[in-house]
Amino acid sequence: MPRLGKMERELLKSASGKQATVLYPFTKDGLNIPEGLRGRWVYKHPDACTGCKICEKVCPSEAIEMIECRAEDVQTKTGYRPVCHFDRCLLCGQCVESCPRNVLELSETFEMAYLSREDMIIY
Amino acid sequence: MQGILDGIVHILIQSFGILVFPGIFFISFLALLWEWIDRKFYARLQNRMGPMHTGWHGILQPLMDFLKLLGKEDLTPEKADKRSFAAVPFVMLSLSIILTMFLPIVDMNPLVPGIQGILSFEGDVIIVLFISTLMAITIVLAGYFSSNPFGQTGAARTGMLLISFEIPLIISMITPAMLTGSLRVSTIMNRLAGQAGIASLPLAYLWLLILPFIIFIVAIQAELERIPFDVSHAETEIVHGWQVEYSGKKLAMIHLAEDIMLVYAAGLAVTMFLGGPYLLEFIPLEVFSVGFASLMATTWVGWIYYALVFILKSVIVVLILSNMRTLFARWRIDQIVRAGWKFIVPLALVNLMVVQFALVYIFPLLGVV
Amino acid sequence: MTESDEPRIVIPPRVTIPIGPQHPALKEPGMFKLTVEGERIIDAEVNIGYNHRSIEKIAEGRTFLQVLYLAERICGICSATHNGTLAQAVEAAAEVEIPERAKFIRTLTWELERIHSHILWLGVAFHEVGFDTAFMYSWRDREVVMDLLETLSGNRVNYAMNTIGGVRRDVTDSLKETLLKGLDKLEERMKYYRDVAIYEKTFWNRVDGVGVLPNKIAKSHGAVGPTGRGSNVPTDVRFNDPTQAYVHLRDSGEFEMVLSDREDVAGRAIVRVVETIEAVRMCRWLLHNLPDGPIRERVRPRIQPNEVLARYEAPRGEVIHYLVTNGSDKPERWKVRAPTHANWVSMAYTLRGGYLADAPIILAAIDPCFSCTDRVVLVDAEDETIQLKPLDVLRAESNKWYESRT
Repeated sequence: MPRLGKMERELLKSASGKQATVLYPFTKDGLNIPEGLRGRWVYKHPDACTGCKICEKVCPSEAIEMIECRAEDVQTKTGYRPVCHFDRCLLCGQCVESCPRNVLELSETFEMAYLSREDMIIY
Repeated sequence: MQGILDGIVHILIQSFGILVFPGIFFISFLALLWEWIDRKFYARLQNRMGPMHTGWHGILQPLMDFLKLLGKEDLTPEKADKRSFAAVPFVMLSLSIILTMFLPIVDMNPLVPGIQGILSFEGDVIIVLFISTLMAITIVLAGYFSSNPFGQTGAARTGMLLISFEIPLIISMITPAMLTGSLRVSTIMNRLAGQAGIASLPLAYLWLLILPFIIFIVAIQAELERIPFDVSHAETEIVHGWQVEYSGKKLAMIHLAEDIMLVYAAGLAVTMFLGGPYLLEFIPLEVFSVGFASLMATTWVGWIYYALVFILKSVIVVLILSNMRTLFARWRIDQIVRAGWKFIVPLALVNLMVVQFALVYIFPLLGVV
Repeated sequence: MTESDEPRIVIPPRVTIPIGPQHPALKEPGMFKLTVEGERIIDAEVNIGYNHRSIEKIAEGRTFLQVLYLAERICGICSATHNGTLAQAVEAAAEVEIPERAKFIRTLTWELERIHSHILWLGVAFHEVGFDTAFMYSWRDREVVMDLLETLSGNRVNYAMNTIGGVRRDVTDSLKETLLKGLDKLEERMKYYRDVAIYEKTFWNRVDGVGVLPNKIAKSHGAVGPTGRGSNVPTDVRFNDPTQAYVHLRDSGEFEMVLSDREDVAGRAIVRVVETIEAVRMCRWLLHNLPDGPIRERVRPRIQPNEVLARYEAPRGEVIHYLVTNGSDKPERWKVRAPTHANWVSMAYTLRGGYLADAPIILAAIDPCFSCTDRVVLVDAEDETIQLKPLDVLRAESNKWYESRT
């Protein structure tokens, strides 16, 4: 039944125990990042890419754009390769799932703050 | 010539006392330290870390917050009563500093036996209570001057709190005054502690202080407007109530005044109920009874010793207050008023009667006088 | 006696206090104009529409697969709800039966989401009445289920677990162990809240007898979810009209609808806490009885013309997705009715006559989600009149918009 100060024991217990909060920006201890986190977009196996543009088509937020392969890139069959405008990406992972040749991946990087939109274009 | 020199030295010591130690500077330092302890303990009880970044375990965080607020833009609402609106933070700050001047932390007047505060005269308990009521009234004014519906609601709630919890606060402080037969803060403290050659009270009397101490802690929590009595600046209901329009320097000053009020509250509890800055004197050893007090009263060692004991005891009170803040939810104003008038005020009155009865009938009968 | 002998009745001045559009008690923009006399609320006016994002319109230009991720963003807290319900609607429109295992995993995500949503609500309720300690504790414990969901789906908020024709991620054996371990911890903590935390007197005084919604009013105002169940209205789609693995859950006979006859905020709190424990038990049952098999079925992108109404019991109440397909890979019309929309009316009723201090907790008691709910309302800035657009006007305007586009 209701009574004053019911939680006092719990309070003292947690005061003497380990704290739940972590010193995140200074250390990454205690963050327990799971396997298979959907993090930063990576163009992982450019060798396998055919430039089929499926990823561009399925992307719900129009984040992926197909550009012509630059000189330093791996040349794909159609001559196009995906880049991700990461400011628009919603990290759904549909491009990874739809890619017929497992070219793309969402890595486990989760710190995704940038200073400008230009920095957020992932090649 | 000698007389003039003595006078100058006396004035210098006095002004050092008022401005630096144990006056304004020391009190402000304590205020920021108390806020840190309060926040840290609050966080620990909630299984958090609390401030960690500025200084050792965030010890400079209250100072940083204060400095940050000083640099912020200072806005005055168009509809507010401008002069009074600007005056309120100054009045609050100066009143709270004056209040702490009455606390006997170190011996400011060695001519009188026992530890004296910077301000100390016969009947100063009444002045202290009067000024602490004035503090609450300035809060009401702050709310009304800002001419904001939230501020006015907050001010009205402060008024309600005031009428319900000033009475138990005053009654609980009357008990030590009755036991010692004095209305002077320092005399009450010295007699209760039985120090400095002042006739001490029988130990049996101290049992009568337990109930008033509990009432005092509850009432002072309401005075300080902390959970469960923080209705007047309930953040989720009326957006910090009477403080809502204050910003920048004025808000910084209000926050400092609130912290100083915490120093005052804890210090008053220590002074009136916990024996003031005496600790080693209670040990029944010859070292601490013969000549110790006079040694402490005249040298600088005594100043450090008394200040440290005062800090230690105040910290205990601050921890009790923080624990209360953590343990409860915020009561609605009508529930607070009901609790105040139904339980706390009758309890205080009954306590008053018991003390009087004991003093007049029981103790003479038992032979303790 | 200069004026009159009759006793004068002093009426406190009426003050209109705005709660919102920005207010610490509200996590999203919405406005409630409260007229108060002293501390009593006389009248409450709900004024929403600050967060309209026209999601239904956007959806008409996207494929079903893309709309799934858009649906998720209707609401951050019930993301799996909208995502799963839309997937369910599309599957029904395509007339596909998804594999059993997919059904179980979808239901598991839903139930885990219910746990996290209810603990979130509990924390918010504690915070609204100034009980910050319990708020911190409950959100700390919510971290456990957030971590479970993150391990299961790869994201903390927008799980994106469902796809048309099944689910996207499988539950492996090691994951099952992790989930079961986390669920044990959650159950222990929730029992603590059920038995201890909500019975702290200062908190209990703030919710006991506050915001009373009588059973009759709840029925007539169409309250759904814990708001309705807190007033003893047996409304729970999971038991009344089960879909997915809820059919098996209901048939197992181990689970019952949680009802309370208290009719106040305390009743809603108890319903939510007990329901969380039920949800933990449901998750455990689902994990123990997980059938083998594939987790998804291929569904062709073009879906034949159909008209579907999908229902699901979201943490806040019944959510309805109405979908019209036209044979293309894009929806013809998609309409979402989030649970908060059904609860507004009953909330305005519960606000009247209460204390000003209780307004935040009464508002929070229906667990309002403004962004789920916002509809187009035109508000005149000068006299603050609200103009609702009737359907034919909207249709005429939308026709004009289409014409101007082509």
